[in-house]
Amino acid sequence: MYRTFTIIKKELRDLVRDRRTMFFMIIFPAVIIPFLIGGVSKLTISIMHKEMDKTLKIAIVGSENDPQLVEFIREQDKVILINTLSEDQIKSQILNETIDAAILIPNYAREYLSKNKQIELKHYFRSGKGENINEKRLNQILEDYFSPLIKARYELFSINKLVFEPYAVYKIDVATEQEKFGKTIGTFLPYMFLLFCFSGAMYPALDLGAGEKERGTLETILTSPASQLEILTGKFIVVSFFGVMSVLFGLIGMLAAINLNSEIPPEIIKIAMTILGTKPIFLMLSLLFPIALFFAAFLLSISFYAKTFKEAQSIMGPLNILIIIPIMIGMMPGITLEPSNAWIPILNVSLAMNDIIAGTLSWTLYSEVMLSLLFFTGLSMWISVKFVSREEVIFRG
Amino acid sequence: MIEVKSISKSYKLSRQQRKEMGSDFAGNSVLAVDDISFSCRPGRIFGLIGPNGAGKTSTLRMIGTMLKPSSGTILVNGFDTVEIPQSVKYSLGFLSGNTGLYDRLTAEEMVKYYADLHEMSNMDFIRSRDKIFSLLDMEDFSGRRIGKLSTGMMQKVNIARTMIHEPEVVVFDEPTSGLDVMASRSIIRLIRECKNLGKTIIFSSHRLAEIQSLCDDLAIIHKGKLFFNGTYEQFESQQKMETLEDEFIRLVDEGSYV
Repeated sequence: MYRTFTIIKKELRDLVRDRRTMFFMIIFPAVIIPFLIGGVSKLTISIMHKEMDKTLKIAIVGSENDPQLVEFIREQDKVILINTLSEDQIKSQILNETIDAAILIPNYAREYLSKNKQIELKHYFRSGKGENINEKRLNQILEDYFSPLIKARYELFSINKLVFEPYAVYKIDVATEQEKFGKTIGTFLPYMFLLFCFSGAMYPALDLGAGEKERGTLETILTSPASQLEILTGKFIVVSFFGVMSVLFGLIGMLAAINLNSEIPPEIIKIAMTILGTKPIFLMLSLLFPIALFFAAFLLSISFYAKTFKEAQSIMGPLNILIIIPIMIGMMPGITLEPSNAWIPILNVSLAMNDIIAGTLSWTLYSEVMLSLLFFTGLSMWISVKFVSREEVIFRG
Repeated sequence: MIEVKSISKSYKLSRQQRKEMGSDFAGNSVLAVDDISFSCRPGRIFGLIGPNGAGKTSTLRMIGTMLKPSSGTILVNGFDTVEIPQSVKYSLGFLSGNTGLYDRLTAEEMVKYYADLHEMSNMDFIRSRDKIFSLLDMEDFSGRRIGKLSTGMMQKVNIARTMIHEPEVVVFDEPTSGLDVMASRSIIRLIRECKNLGKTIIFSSHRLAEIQSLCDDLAIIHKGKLFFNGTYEQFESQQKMETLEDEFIRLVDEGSYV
């Protein structure tokens, strides 16, 4: 016990002085991620605003067929009309971005409209990434123009609009605000937490396994009276500690980001603070400790197997996917924590965290998740100890 | 006292390693140490020499409890290295040319770490540390991080780390490999100092001049087998060539087992 404590003390001192580990434990989760999230959301909003404020260049082919509509469009804010193009030119002009959209008014427009018939307007646009703001803006203009006409037609034929709308649905969502928030944005938090935990544990694991081999320090520590179990226990604890600390710094970073972001409505901040309150945090941490040990056992086994730091890195990189897949499955709609998946490591933590955030956690399932985690953590640590105790692993190469 | 009794060590080969051994190679394992016996006595320096891949490091690692012999037994101060490795480790110091240090610890922290692993009391640690640091002139850099030290300074830290718990048996596996004359000298001084203190010392080296000047007893190992085992005087009396180097090459070339 004393020697395990000695190893923990030394490893902590050693790693705290390592800039790379500290970067992944503190700077990455606490500063870079919240900064990136904040930055990306601000950038998205600013792009949206920019698109909305942009002057739309709309070409109209057949403007003489409905001068009133043309005039209506011309009167809109931030719209430039181009009447000089033919239908053949529209496609190429949109593709080379000379114009943003085009409308083709058929030659029968005035006649049909006067006879209360339907006309077919062709709306040319170019779809792109995300929201098609240009398309939506032009749709809105057309809707604004034609809605008085629709109303007039209802009145002309003395038709009550409701005749064509035989039912109306009033949706009443009984989910609490916390639940709604938890089931949407909340799915993202476990993803972040598990990833922080994994990445925070990764560098210490690399350093304490393959790093020791590469430096030649493993050979010396093995000649000390510390048993392999004591050495590994010390390393397990330190690696999982860094995983958990990484999550804690991530939490601090997110809290800071929420508080500093002036664009988040106060009610959302209130819900976020409820989620990040004492009980949910305590419950999430109760799941994080065993999963951090599970990650530590997994990562240390790879690290000790590798001959060099570089080899360990190259093995761990692709194995990231093994962690990400269950987390991604946990984020899929319709997947909830059930007795059948409460025993699958990582996925169960991801789903249980969703329930904790939404405030819908079942204690029976929570117990199953905990039992599963304790079982798999124990198993992975046992495998890891057996694996690392093998001479061909320690002195591989 | 180290007693090595008929030890052998074989390593299992991976498919890739078997392939690399060539088409003539049959079997799944390679015998690195083949039924060797010798003993090292207190107050004497035992030299183990042999070409690369002869089995020196495997033998020394088995003495240091890092590897288990496939057969045979090793007793260090009467303790079996397989049965009670913990007791062996308390009385053993192990220094090899490959031994690394923790760059981010200071020299003092590094030495204290090993003292703590040997469960030394603080008083014993301070007494032993002061003695070693003074002997090796380490006081000036004991507070500096190891990553910032010169090779010579690092070697001194390594020696201090090996000797802090005052082991009765010391294993040196090519401790001077890659070191300059100045750094090598501190190791040689330490080995002599250990002998004067009545410790049991086993020492392997490629530098035959070091063996010549230090060793009381000698073993020559090649392809896992012992070619010679006796006192240095006995070796000299049987010597057919003029220098130790020539005699060593002759023995290896002839492959004659003594």
